[in-house]
Amino acid sequence: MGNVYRMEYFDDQFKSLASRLARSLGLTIRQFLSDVRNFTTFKEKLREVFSLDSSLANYVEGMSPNDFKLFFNRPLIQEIIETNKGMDTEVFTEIQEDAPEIIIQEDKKVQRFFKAVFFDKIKKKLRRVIAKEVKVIRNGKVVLKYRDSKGRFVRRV
Amino acid sequence: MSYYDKRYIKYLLVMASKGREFACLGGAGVAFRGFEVKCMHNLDTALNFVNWEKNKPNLYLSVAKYKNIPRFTFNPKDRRKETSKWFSSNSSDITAFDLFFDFDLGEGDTWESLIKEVNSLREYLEEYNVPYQVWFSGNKGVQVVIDGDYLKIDKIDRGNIYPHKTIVENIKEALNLKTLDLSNNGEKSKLRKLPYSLVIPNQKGIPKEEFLKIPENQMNVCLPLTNEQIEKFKLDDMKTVSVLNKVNLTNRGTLERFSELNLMEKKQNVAEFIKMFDF
Repeated sequence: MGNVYRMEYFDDQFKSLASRLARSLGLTIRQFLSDVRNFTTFKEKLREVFSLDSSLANYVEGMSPNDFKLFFNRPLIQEIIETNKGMDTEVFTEIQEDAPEIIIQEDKKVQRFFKAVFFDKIKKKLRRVIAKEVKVIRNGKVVLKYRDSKGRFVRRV
Repeated sequence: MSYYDKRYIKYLLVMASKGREFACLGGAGVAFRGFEVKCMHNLDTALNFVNWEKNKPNLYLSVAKYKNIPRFTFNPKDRRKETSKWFSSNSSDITAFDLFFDFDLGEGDTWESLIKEVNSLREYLEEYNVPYQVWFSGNKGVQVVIDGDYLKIDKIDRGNIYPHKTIVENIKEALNLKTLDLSNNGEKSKLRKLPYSLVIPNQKGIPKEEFLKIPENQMNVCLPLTNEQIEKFKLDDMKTVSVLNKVNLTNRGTLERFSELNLMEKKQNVAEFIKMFDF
């Protein structure tokens, strides 16, 4: 698991799947990750989150202790642990819309896609991608961000 | 000497036809399908059978590649029965299927807007080093092809090839390609123009006797295009007389980009490119 590109991919998958699981449990992502406080609880949470995807679940089962350590030391996980220690750093939060009481069938809406770029740290250059809009909360404000098909946050052009 | 008598033209046509179904359709009502061109003799046989000089049909190839195309009778009465049977049951013979993007001028579209959309797709193909080919379709469009050898077929369901059908639909939506025609997209028996074949331009609305009089040098060539030819595209440059005078066709091939990559690299690049549209 040493490849930087792959580790960033796993970061994105962890965030995305954690959001999904939190939503399904009726929790905010902060609440859902609040019990990640050390290496042991991190491993448990990782298994739980990656169980949503069969290929990732298989991957986690095959991870060595060193692989877990590498993931644990990632800035994303360390930020979550610091937050849970009571520091004033806000973890990135996705907007979770309330489940509607009434669901009215709508005609298929046209999806909107955008041309975007991201900086490939391995090839050290900007790469073109296609992205969709997502709404996120940052510092209490709703902002528009763009994600590509791999879940990476990218810059619209 | 007629265009199809030139050996270097025949060579280009035969090389492009290998492993695919060859067809002659249109012109003066020709409908000839289910043929395989493996050599110049096969090509001559087909052109003579449809009396190309008189009837001037368009020449096509299947988007699919086949491991085996049976030899059917040349008796016109029985041929259709035999080929229909093969068309309905030949899924197991399909070994590959191209990713095929057919850009067509619709009403209100201009060549500038069409070329802009082709370039919009090419931007991403170039970014991911995807091996692709571009050619003028002969009349009012441009075709972009990624060879089927670089993308595995997952399933053939009700005559449609997957994931190829879905991929082209996704790309049309993601890049907002208005001129990308999805008619028969992903259908296993879909045909595309044979590169370097001749097409009578603007046949619609003209009486048959009139368009059959158009001389060969005023017909269009389905020409594989270089990057420069795409950027500076002019319809007049596609006429037979212009192509034969200005373009060196000897061993020109279909101008696949990134052809120097090995097969594994090509497959990986195509997979990476497709993943970009897989939301």
